[in-house]
Amino acid sequence: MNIQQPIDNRYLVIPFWQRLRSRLTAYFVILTVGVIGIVTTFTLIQVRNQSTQQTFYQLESIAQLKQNQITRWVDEGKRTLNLIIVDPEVRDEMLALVNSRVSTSAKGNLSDLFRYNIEAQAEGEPIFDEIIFYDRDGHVLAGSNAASISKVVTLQPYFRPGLESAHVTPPYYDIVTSELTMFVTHPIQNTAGEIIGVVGGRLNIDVLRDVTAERAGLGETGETYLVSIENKYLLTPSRFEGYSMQRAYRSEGIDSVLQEQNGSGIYLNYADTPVTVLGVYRWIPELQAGLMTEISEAEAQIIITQTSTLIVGLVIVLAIAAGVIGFYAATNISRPIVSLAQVASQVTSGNLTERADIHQNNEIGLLANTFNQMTGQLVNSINELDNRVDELNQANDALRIATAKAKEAARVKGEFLANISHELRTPLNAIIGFSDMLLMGMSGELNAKQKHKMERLRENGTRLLTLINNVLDITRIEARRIEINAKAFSPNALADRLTEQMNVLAEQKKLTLTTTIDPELPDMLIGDEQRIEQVVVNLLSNAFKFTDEGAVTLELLVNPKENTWGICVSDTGIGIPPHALSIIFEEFRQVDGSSARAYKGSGLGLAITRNLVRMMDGQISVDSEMGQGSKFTVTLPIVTRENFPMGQQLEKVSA
Amino acid sequence: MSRIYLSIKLGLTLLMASLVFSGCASASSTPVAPTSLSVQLAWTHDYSSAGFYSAEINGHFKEQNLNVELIAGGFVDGSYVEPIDAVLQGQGDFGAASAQSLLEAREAGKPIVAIANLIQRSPSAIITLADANIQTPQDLIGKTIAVADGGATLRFNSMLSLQGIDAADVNIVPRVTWGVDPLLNGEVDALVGWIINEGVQVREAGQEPNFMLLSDYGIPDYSALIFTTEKMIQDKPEVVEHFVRALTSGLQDVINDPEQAAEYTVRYNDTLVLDEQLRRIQASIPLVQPAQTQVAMMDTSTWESIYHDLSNAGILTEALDLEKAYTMNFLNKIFTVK
Repeated sequence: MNIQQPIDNRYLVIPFWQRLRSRLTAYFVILTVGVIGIVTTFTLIQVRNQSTQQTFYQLESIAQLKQNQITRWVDEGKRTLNLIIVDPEVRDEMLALVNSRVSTSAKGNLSDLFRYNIEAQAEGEPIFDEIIFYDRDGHVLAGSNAASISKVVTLQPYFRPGLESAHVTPPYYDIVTSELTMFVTHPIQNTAGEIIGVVGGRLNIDVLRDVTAERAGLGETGETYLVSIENKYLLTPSRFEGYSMQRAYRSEGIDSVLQEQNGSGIYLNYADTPVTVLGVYRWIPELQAGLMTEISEAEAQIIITQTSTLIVGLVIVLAIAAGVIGFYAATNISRPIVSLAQVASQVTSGNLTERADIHQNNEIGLLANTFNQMTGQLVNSINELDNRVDELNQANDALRIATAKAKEAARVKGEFLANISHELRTPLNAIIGFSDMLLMGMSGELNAKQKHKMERLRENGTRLLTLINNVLDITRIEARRIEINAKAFSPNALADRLTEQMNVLAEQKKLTLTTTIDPELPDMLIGDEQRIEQVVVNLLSNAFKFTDEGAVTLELLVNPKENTWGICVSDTGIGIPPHALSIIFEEFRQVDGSSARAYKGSGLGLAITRNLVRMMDGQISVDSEMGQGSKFTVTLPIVTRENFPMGQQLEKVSA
Repeated sequence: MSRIYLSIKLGLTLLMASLVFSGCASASSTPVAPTSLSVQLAWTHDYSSAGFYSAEINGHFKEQNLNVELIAGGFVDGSYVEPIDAVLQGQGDFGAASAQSLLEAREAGKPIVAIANLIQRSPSAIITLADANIQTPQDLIGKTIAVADGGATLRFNSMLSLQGIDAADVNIVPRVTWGVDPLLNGEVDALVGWIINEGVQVREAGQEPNFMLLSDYGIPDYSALIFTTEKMIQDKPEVVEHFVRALTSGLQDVINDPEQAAEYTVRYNDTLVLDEQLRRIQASIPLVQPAQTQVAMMDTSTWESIYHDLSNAGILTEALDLEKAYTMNFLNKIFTVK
């Protein structure tokens, strides 16, 4: 249980909203709400637009119907008045009245005719409430209503236009009755064509109210009303309580229609607390008024509003459902993953026996199964590795022991060689010393034969000493007891000295020694002159040794590009066979075992040379052809005072 | 939103208009320096001066750079304040008076001129109860009618003569009370009064009245004209014009919103009853602005008719230049520009 702790914590560290379960649940909800939301919003907007359009069509047709009714009504008023005045009897009476105002009988007759006309129309709604006839001075000479006779109408709005031509006076509020009043007038001419008076019909205004009060197709809030250009008063009452007709009313629709425009729109209506309405308005020129047909947007859109509410509810329910489904689906996915992670953590912590206990026939099941297999495989691999490590450790131990033994053996060998060399040199020096003394005749003069033998003795002794010295050298080098003493020296002087020394050998073997020095070579170099000399002497000695005729050449070269200088020794001797080129620098090797006797030498010279060159950070190479000669090249780094490392002592000591 | 837009648009328009008007001398409105002036009303504060209240409270006077004091009239210490005299004595710059008072003053050589008209149609009427079935002046023959002395009697008699009725056939009694009780009580069959006052009173008493407007029988009248002095018109025509402009706006406000006007009226005189004032204002509106007219207008033929009637009745004995008694210049300027 302790092992499980860290993984639980790590799981809890994942922020809630980053967890797979939260995200998947959120995706489900967003997807559901998003898709349904977008689709329904789009659809609702479409339907709403169509519904608005539909409402406008409906309002348009209602407005058209009402406008037609009003126009027909006014036209019928004009037509009826025309029918009255074309009646010859009526005309005669009018002329008589104007000519003799006092003819009471005529007055009575015309008034009676007017009354008769109104009654005749009264089968349905009468078109006129009253018909009057007045003269040019506005004196009412006859009227269907007795109370109007003898009035003077000069101040009435219909008086002046009525004298000029047939006229419809737009509705106005009568001062006496406060009633809405509307007159159709027609001038009357005498036979001479002079206007002698006017017949006026007061229209039955109730018709207007009936037309607008009819609210078929206008629902609960729809209304049709007329608003006059005169002070924006209503000509027909509002559908709603508390709106006096004699008060100015304003709205976007009213303002538009009173500029004599037809149109429609969505605007705030005239109410004290304005309501947004869909309105269609028509300018009715006969009434100098606007016909407004309006329905509240809320009612026009009620189905859309209800549907919207329903859909919003539905979306919420679906969102919750999607959330629940998403949560379960996500849990099904995330739980085994978390479980697997816990097992993996256990395994990581070293509990290799832990296995994922997930049995699902799906990808997660497959993952768990594979994980279990992987863990099993891991256990096998670990076991195998352990075995290998054990084996390697054993081998390692054996190697360590062997190495120690080998080192010890080498050390003992070196010590032995050093000791033996030292022990050999002492008696050998004695042999050589005594041979010299004998040769110098210190024990009496030697004869030629004795002298020859003694010289051979000393010669062999010297060779043996050289051999021993060489062996001592090589062991010292191998034991790293040789020191490199770097000092300034002149390579030219070195070359001169060596040439002089070696000329003796050259003369003995009748060979020529040629020395060339690259003029670019610096005058002064830093190095162990003694060791360099040893290298060159070795190489030259070999050259003379293996050359019977021809020449030996010593060259000092410089390669400024690589900052090296070189010593090249070439001869015209027997050469080295190709197969031997790779082994000539090994100890105790001569090209041909058989030649050892012909060419005296220990076979240690080149090995020492190579080791010395390497100690001086140089390289040695050989180039040779059988019967033609050999060429040895030593390459050394140029060390001058200028590039000698600062602070480093000039005398370089090899570790 | 459209309202906000509208109000912004309106505001901008007003701003631009004010810039234009303040920037140059316009034909329509010459700017005036801030001016204080006073109006001597013809009566105590009530509905008949509603146009002034709306002009003041709705800021129309202020728009015209005028600071206006409204002086109540009526009876002060038992005697009627005659606005014409008050204005001539310098107690007011403008006053309200009837056409008859004005013409009489002109005849007496008082230099006053009518500049606007509060009520274009006279509210004077023969008021009867509908039940009495008195439909025409002829029906008054043999009936008792109460008529106040002075102008009312004068115009009533003119009407009778125009209608060919002998005054002796009608029992005319002097009207001694302001109310309509004699009519309601049956003491009289008719009385001559204002339809916007006595007419409404009859209705308020629960009776249905019947009206015969004297103006419908050939006797027109201007009962509430706004006048000023000839000197004022001569010296400060632009002040007069701005005053008339503000007044017409106030009158239009009354017409547009009678309920607001009634509320303003009660604000000026808290002894009044709001509903009563509203009914009177509503009854006044068709008189203040009859169909197809502009507010405050006057009409030459009506002036001539009034002058003719007064001369016939012997009230005016000397010929006077009627055209000097009133001027339409200011009103025409306002309405042609509109």
